[in-house]
Amino acid sequence: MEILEFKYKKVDVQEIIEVVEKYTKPSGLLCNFFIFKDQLFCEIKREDLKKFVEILNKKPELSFEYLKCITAVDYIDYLEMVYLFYSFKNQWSINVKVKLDALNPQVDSIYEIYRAADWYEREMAEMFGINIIGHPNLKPLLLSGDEGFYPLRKSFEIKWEEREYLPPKKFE
Amino acid sequence: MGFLEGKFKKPNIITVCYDKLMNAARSRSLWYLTFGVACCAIEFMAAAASHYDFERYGMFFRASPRQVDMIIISGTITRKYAPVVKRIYEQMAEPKYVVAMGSCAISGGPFYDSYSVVQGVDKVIPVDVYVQGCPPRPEALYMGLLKLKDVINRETIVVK
Ligand code: SF4
Repeated sequence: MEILEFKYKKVDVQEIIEVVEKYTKPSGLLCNFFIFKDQLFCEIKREDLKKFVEILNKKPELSFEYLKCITAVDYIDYLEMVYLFYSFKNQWSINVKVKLDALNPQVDSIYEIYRAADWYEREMAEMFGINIIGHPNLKPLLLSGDEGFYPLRKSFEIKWEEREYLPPKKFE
Repeated sequence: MGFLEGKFKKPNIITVCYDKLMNAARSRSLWYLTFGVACCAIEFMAAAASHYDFERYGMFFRASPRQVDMIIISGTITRKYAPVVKRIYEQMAEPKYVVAMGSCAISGGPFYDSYSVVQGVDKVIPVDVYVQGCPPRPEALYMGLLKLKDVINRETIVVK
């Protein structure tokens, strides 16, 4: 039996930046790289997200084939979507951040590139009220969908004296 | 038949109180639904398994709500799940009994002011016996089930 040997590779973050920029520069994508605690972060514009993610996934030299997680943060002035990608081939990881407008948050779906984004995007849509454009099946995942509030927003307050925690009406 | 053995050589009639006969039968064969919602279900399974053994009380699990007399709500009921619980309760045949097990099923428990939890299963379906604890030990659940027997024994044919 063949025993697979896992060799830990010291990741050079500058090398990732070089390779990513090699592909993004020609297509005119503006990315703002920064490093925090040995982790590579990359800020891009909302309109460029789909193009950028496609480059990360499709280029064989990068091959970020694994979507670790999608999450979102509410900074009150603006919202931010965070995408965590990993490449098994190179043992690289990259975190992509996208700033969204606080009043009208919307972002393109990356469902067509990463199928794993399906449930993450549905969760972000119901928890933060982010409008995911182009998602094929954007129904609520964990909530019942008739709450009228977004529980993970900073502006959400628990008012349990006022709010009725009754079951939803729709199946009755 | 114990004390009646040998007393009846030929076919005979016994007169009993109807309520007592029916209640004795009902309280000694409480079949329950295989239904676990959250972490309380682990303790419920421990109570049902061989160490404590539900079956010595005549309780036997059924997988279909149409065949059961009792449902033990063992855990948190979220707003999304509440209609399902209601549907299951409506599918059960009369007479039916509900045991709310754990703080979550009584009042929402640790998740009382959460955004997604129903504050007690009695907002959805009527409850006969509440068993407190987070989670209740199997002994506490047995206490609740013995209380449920008392509830059943109080029933009469006149008023349900
Ligand atoms: S009462 Fe405690 S143990 Fe039971 S479901 Fe709720 S949190 Fe879990």
